[in-house]
Amino acid sequence: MSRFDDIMNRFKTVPGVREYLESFEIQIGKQIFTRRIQLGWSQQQLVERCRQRGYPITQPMLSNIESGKKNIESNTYHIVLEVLGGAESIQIKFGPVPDEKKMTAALTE
Amino acid sequence: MSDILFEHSFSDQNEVEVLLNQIIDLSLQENPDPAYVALAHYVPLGMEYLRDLIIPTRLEQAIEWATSDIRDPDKQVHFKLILQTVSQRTVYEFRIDAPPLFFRAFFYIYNESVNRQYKIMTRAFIKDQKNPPIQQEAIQETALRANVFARDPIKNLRKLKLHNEK
Repeated sequence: MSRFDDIMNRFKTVPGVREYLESFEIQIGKQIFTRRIQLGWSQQQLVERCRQRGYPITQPMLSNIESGKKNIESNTYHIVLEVLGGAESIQIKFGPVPDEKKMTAALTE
Repeated sequence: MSDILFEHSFSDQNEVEVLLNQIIDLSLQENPDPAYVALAHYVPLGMEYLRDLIIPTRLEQAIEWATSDIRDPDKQVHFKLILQTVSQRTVYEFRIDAPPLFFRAFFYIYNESVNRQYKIMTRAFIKDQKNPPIQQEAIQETALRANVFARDPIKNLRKLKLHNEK
């Protein structure tokens, strides 16, 4: 294990951090962000490409997507992913099944 | 592939690791300061993004975004994930402005190959004033570290990797 991994694991012991980092929105936002940078596009360039295809996305919306903000519509993800080349696969690695109490807490959060 | 390594500062202290552990410790206290708890969410988030990203050779503008504060959706938190410093082009800064806390970390990069980049973190602190003297000191030291590293990158990378193993 590296020192970096060790620190990251320690951060995940702070209440709420693991759930925050492993949330769907953060995971997909990070992939969108990494892909955009890989393509050498600015946020504005990606927004313009979305608009050219008739999708009215704004830079603040893209910023929210990339930073993992909650309550983004699934269609918005779909649009951005399409413009970035389409998602050929989205893999989900499942963790252990939470107990009922934790599940209820997560759903009502 | 990309990796983050920590390097000792000239004062022989691993300032980055020490600061990160302090943020964690303060967040794990019985009645933690909510500002530190929020920072304990944002710092690993930024570090994960940073780790997974290969910084382009020609970085034309800072890579940044703003998002809602987890404590208050009406407030904003600003991330400057990668900011190339003006005075030293080999030095990069990673900033998180989550008032009242302003996190700063400095690093340089080494491209082992087209697809393999290391980000070597040297200094970090929580800023409590505009342009504190420690900021210029951190930039100068990181530039010097980058310079020393570049003299024999293969040997220095090997040493750093060893130091970064737990």
